[in-house]
Amino acid sequence: VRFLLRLYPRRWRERYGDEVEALLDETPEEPLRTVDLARGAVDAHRRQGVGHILAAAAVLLASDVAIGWLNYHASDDVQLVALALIVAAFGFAAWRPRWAWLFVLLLWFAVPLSSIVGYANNYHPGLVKPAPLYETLVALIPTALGALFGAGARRMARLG
Amino acid sequence: MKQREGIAGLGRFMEPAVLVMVSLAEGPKHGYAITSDLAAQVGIKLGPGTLYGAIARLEERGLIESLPAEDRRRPYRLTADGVAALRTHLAQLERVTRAGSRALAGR
Repeated sequence: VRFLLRLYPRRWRERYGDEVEALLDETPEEPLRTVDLARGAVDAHRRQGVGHILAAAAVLLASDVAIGWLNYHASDDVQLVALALIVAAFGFAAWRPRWAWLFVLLLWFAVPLSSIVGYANNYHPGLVKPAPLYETLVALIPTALGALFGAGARRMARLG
Repeated sequence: MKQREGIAGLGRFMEPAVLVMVSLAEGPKHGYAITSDLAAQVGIKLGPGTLYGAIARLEERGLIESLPAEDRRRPYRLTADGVAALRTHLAQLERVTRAGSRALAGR
């Protein structure tokens, strides 16, 4: 059940993580203990406040909409879309390393959705549209680098 | 930041918090000792999530405080505010118990 501790907020884990692990070592494993730990994680997040979650969700949504909008208006020159992907992917992943995977996942919706809207409106500013898979792959590299950078910076700040 | 709201501010999380405080009224204890003590004396087994949820809330309110860690275990003890808040709460519970017992005696 130790993996459930990963669900707790970072600050909570730094404060109580070792103690809870020691407690888990000393008590027998039971299904109810797993449920209790999972419920505790939800409680710990709620107590910490939902402001940080809402802020991350808002930034994620805004960058997703911006990239979708750029893709919608992109002509054959897709450098602006690629630049937005790189900047947004790296920046968001560095800011919220644990949410980085969600950024990439949302791209699967943003890019095809903007293309669908383009087809529905018969709006085709360019002849060639970048494929959704290609864009997501482009975003994977800066996302991974950003997450590594963000996680490393946090680790150094904690140790320092 | 610590919010000194006392036990009443704990709302529906009051019960496990009071149990932890009752256990700590005997003296400083770490998490395992609190759960073992409560299971043996009150017959209530607090899960790790519930236990540390209660400990975190009580610490935030300044009702308990941690002592230096012993290996991975960290003992906790009641603060002066915690002792006063527990006394008030138990006295209130006693009044409720007496009133309830009186009401039931007439049935």
